[in-house]
Amino acid sequence: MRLVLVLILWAAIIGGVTLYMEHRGGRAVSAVSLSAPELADRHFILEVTATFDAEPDPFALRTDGSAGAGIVVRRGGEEILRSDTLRAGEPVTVPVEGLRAGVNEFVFEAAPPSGEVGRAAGLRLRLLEGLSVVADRTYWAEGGAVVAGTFRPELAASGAVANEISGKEADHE
Amino acid sequence: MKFSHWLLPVLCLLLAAPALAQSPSQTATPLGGERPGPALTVVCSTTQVADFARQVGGARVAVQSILAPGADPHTYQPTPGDGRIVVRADICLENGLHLEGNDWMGKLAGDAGRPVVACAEGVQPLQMAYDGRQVLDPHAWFSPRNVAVYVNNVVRALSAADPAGKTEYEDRARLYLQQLRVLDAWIRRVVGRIPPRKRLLVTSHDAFNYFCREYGFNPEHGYMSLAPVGWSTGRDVGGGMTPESRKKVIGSIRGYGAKAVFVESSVNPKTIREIAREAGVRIGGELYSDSMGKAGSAGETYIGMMRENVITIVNAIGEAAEPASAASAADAGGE
Repeated sequence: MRLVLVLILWAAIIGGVTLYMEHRGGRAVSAVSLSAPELADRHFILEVTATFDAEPDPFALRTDGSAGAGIVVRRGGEEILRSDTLRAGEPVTVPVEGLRAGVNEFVFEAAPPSGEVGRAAGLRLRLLEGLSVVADRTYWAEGGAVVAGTFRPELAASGAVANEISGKEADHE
Repeated sequence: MKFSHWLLPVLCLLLAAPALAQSPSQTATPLGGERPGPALTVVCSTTQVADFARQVGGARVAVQSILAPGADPHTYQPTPGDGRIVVRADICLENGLHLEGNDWMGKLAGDAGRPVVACAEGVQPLQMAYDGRQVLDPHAWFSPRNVAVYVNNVVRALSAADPAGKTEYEDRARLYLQQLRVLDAWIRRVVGRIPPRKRLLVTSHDAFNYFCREYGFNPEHGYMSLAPVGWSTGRDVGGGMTPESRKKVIGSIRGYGAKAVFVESSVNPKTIREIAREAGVRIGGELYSDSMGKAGSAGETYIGMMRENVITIVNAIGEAAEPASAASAADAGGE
């Protein structure tokens, strides 16, 4: 009888803890939902403007022997922009297809000239829909560091921007 | 009192539960504490190349350097013991650009039937005068940007020899490349405090071309390293000097208008001190050049060696708004 009581109590305690853990885990839902509807009928443009002339990062890992790029922007693991000709103050635009309602993440990195360690390097990213600005954010890095981070505009299904979730500010190394 | 009878077993079971629930994969480390040995044995020609291999390889690679700290790669004569070391290597790494005089590393590796990789492959080489002719300058590691090329070559070489470790090598290389970036930015910041026309670097060995070019030293001499005319390299500095060559050296030091001359940590400073006194300049300090420092010294790693050199140069030139210090050097890449 005692043994049964011990087992019942043990099962109750372990079961309670397990249920509690599962409940906590279930609440941490990813902000990026891949099942969100694609905004196929809407056309977006990503505009990138730097305060510096981007140049290939001399300290990048390049095991495939390829030349680096001044700026690279990726979305969903795919490169949507790679350029060596990003000049200070001159915007570069790229059409973006397949954005979804909810959070859309753009991962970027841009290398300032290595001689410019004395001043901050800024990179402005804007998501445009026609002439209207959907999201606008500027990222900074100092001391010759690469400007890197994530630009995460959140789009509403209706058309207006729902929110802009702040991404990683910059790669301060 | 009955309550206490079953309370003890319950507590025991609860305490034992995590251990019973642990999966076998979490207890993979043998109780004896044994760890698998290195996957690769790499033999390197110089201390710098060995440091890059250690940074990238970590515990997965056993690294040996043929040259000891302070040894001269230009004039080194391999020993039978070196051959026995190279025979045990899976792969050999050398600087290349003819740093290893008479291709001694290539011959060692060739005799042992081991592959050898030149880490400076892909660097944009500078030219330097040697014995009245132009040759490729092998001292490419004096630019951290060039070292990034070395590191990429090391990653490729290790990954080819040990594909299972590729991800680990790449992860470690990424971290090291960030340290190199920080080092480079720190040097630019510190050297930037010296007015460009005051950046005059005269060394006993013209090994600093890449450094001068990268950080704007010797602007009136094409950003190239300056060594007194008639002063030979390595261990021979000052040795066998004739009165004529001594006069030539003193004349060229005065001609440069240098406030200080720098010597390598591996050379005998006696003759150099005498010449500096006669030329009316002081010894700025000892610089790490072809070799890094001994274990335990500030220059035992590449990043430490570069930090020490920059601090020595900036403090000796003395025109900086504030002297470089060990404290500020702490920003120059962690190790």
